[in-house]
Amino acid sequence: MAQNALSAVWVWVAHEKGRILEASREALIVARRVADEAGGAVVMAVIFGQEDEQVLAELATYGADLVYVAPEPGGYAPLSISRRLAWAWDHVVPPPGVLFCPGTRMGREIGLRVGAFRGVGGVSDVVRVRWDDNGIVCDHLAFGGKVQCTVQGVEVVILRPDTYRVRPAPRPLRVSSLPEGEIPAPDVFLVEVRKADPRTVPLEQAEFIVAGGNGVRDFRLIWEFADLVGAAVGGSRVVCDDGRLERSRQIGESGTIVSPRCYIAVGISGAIQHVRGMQNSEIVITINTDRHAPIHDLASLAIIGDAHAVLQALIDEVRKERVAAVPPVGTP
Amino acid sequence: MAVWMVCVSEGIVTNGPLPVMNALKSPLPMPNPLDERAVEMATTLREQYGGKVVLVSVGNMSEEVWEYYLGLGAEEGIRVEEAGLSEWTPPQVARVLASVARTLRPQVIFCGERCVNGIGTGWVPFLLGTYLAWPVLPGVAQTSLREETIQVERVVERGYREVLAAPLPCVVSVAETAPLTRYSAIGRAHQARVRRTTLGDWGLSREALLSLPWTVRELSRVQARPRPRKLYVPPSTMSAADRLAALLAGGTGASRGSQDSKFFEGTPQQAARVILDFLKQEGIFP
Repeated sequence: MAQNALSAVWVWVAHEKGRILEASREALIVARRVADEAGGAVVMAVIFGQEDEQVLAELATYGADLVYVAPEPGGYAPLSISRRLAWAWDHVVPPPGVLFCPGTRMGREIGLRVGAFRGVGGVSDVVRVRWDDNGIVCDHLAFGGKVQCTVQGVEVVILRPDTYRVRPAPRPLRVSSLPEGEIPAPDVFLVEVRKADPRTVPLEQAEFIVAGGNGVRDFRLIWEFADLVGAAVGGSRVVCDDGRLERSRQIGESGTIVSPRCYIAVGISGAIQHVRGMQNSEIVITINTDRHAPIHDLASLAIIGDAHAVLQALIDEVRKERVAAVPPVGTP
Repeated sequence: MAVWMVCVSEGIVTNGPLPVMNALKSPLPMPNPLDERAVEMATTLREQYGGKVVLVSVGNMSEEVWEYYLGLGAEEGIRVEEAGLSEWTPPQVARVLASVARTLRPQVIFCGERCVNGIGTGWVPFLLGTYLAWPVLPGVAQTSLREETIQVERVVERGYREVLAAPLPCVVSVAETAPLTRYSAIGRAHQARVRRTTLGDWGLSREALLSLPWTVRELSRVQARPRPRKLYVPPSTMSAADRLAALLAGGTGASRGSQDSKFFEGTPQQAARVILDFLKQEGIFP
């Protein structure tokens, strides 16, 4: 399509319990800025599910001009949503020049599916978007996040999450229904969604890991805390060597390489072979008596203190919160 | 005989001693870790249900990387190359793979979810599924077959697992949560039958591939700036006195901007409170 004029942009917006997810707010704000740079294009948000006043108010706050509301998709949601978006793309006025998707798992899948159905070009892991005379220009990360490529001619933009500053950009909002058409029957089916058991989940699949090192003498505390917060348990090579933890739970270059969302390193100094096994963790919390332990270099939050005392305090605090959350007997 | 087709690609070494931009100028080829897992997944299914694993590569691939993939346990390999065509766009790769699949008639086509040590936008599995009109199951960690359907498990947010099913044949894109591969054995690599082919062998022409629309055009590449790590910021619900105490106790204020700001030193109870607040702030612990 001709990229030298942009009359509208699409944004697929994810929402939950009456709130727009943060990654979708980022997508809205980026779309608003690109639309303004392009000389006032229309920002069209698309939401699936019931029309919710709170969601509509948020859409207006974060820069949408028009929202298309569509009923909750049946079956496997990413497939149904992307088929409907791909069909509706040609049936809305003015026709959108680009689709912005938030960088969540579902946003990414929807962006890729819509791009494939329509046979248009797109990029993911986008960290910067701007409009120039030749169209939309995106910077996206490649080669494991080490290289930033600048590309042009993109019609599906999948943003990298936690990258853009979200500021309100209020606009008057119009509400409309997403045009409906003949959608092929789904060929992927959702069988079930279940909670993984942290005790049995393979470490490489764990989202939250509590790992103990040589500074932890009593691993019962690690297990107790991990069970309370729903984390998997891992350890350094030393603790697996001397039998405090089974070998399959060793984290490091010679054990399992993990990339959880959160990694709590308790009493681990940070030997290079261990660090190589957990350095891709998104958030690292360290607990160590040595302020100069190399593990702190990776930390988002570094606690200087005795591993056992802090673990015991954590267990007590979590238990206290659980008790406080239970309504007293006799409460209706 | 059941055919398990695996699409393999080549990345480059980006974590060596060279700065990444120098590594791009004189690239050292290496396998894509997600394609390795895709080979492992196909090999596991072959062991359970019989058949053969066929690897397919599109474009030039170094001999070392090709042998490595074969050594993971494939019976056959098909290389599709075209002299003078060095940069392949996702639709071109997907179109060639689709043509190969129409001839091989596999039960499942496995691909890595993306090339993590290459450009890696993750477009190929979805385009391939669209060209073949086959279902696409993305981000898969485990697979099993039940009669004429495949059932897969995916790792999703907040510690949940999603089980999806689709009729065969289908395209499965493999995530990093899938099991690691076994060792690559040179003996296995040498036993595999390898065919070197060109576009014409699959009924394709260079002109037809070049005419496939792909509007994305790369303008430049630079070294990416490192992304800052998230630091703990005391929640605004804490009283001013508590926030100040936290700062004085070793610092938790993001505004200080120094490396020290992430350290906390206090009583175990205070430390526990800080950790739990941080976990709640990040939505990890409800």
